[in-house]
Amino acid sequence: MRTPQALVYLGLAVLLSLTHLLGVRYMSIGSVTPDLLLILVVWLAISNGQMTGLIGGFVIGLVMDGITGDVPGTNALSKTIVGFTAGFFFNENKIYLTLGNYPALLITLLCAVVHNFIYYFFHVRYTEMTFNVFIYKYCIASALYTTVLAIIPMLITARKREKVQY
Amino acid sequence: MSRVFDFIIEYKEYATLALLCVLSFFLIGNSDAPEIRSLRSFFVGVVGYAQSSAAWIPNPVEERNENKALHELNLELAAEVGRLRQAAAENERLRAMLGFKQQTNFRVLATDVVGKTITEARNIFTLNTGSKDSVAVDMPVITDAGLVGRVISVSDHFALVQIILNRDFRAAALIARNRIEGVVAWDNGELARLRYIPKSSIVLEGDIVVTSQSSNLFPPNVPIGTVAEVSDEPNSLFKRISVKPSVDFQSVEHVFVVLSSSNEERKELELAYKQKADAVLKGKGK
Repeated sequence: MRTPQALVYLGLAVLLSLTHLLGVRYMSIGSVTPDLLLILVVWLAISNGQMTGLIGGFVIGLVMDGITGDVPGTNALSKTIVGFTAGFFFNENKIYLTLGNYPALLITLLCAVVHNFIYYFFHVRYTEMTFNVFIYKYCIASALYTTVLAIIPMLITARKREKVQY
Repeated sequence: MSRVFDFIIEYKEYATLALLCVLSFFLIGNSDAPEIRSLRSFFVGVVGYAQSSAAWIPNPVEERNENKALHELNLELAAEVGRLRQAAAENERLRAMLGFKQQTNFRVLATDVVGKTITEARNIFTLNTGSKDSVAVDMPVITDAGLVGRVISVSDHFALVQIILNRDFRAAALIARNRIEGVVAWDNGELARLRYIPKSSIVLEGDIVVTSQSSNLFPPNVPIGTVAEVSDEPNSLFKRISVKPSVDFQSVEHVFVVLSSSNEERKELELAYKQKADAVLKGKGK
């Protein structure tokens, strides 16, 4: 990954973190919120490979921890795992094919479930949530919401692919 | 080394993942956020439960260390028990002496035995009180058990006591049961002798021998010992009576010096008579 591209991703990470911080109350449905940076990490890993996904996930997680004032390291850890998981689906010849179609949504869903499981694990004891709430609300519902929002970059990528092809 | 390097290069994604996870956990671990505190306390509980569940599995190293520590503790406790037993015995002795001091009519001075010889012909005790403490020659020395002896020499801070088990010791004594008088002396061995008891007297084993009021040194009725053996001495007018002293000279550590027992007026009268008799005898001799 080239340096300007890395800076673009970093800028996007800061922008999405601020969006998450400021717009979370407008986006939440019954306290279920999407994770916009998770989508960014998935896109980064599928576009640039597992190693880039790993490091990018860690840096983006740190940025999110710093901006949102979350427990330092929790987003870094969960997004590093997301970058690693999404990196398994990296195929240099099928980047647009993967990101511009429903596989991108399935990968996002898988990564979001893994991410939420790790991220909310650190909050389970403190909030004293039940196991069912932890699984259904914070792991699955939040992952579905994030997946739904991932349709937007998927459509953008699909259109971009069409432009590249024609 | 190169193999390790090759391995890391081959699995660089996994190595990076491990490194980043460690970094993340380091950040999380250093955080003091309430979420992490809560989680930390939860893990402490889990680890404690796991440890208690696995506590039945023997650990040879730990058991050896524990065994060593218990041995050391056992030694310390044994020494402590010894000290406590000694203190208890001393406490009992001192209590008995205190009770005796309160009961006795004599003016007495409590003192410690700092030296003793009990295996020689002329056995003595050394006391750590002397003339500075008003101790003087001829003062009787007693314990709550009975008569010990008399002071034969004093310095400023020490005194020598001639005990009953000394060849030079003599004390006017009587058998408490029938008031027959004799003289207590010592030849050798563990027993003293009650001399000059006529063969016609009835003396039984177990009879208690006490000081007589005929003595101008010792206060009357102080226990000396009990009759241990009685026999008729051949070619003699008297019985052969062995007396077991009331005081255990081997173990005695604290004694009393009787500061005022003898009657000075009586002493002076007896001394004047003796001098007069000696003068008469000298005059007749001339």
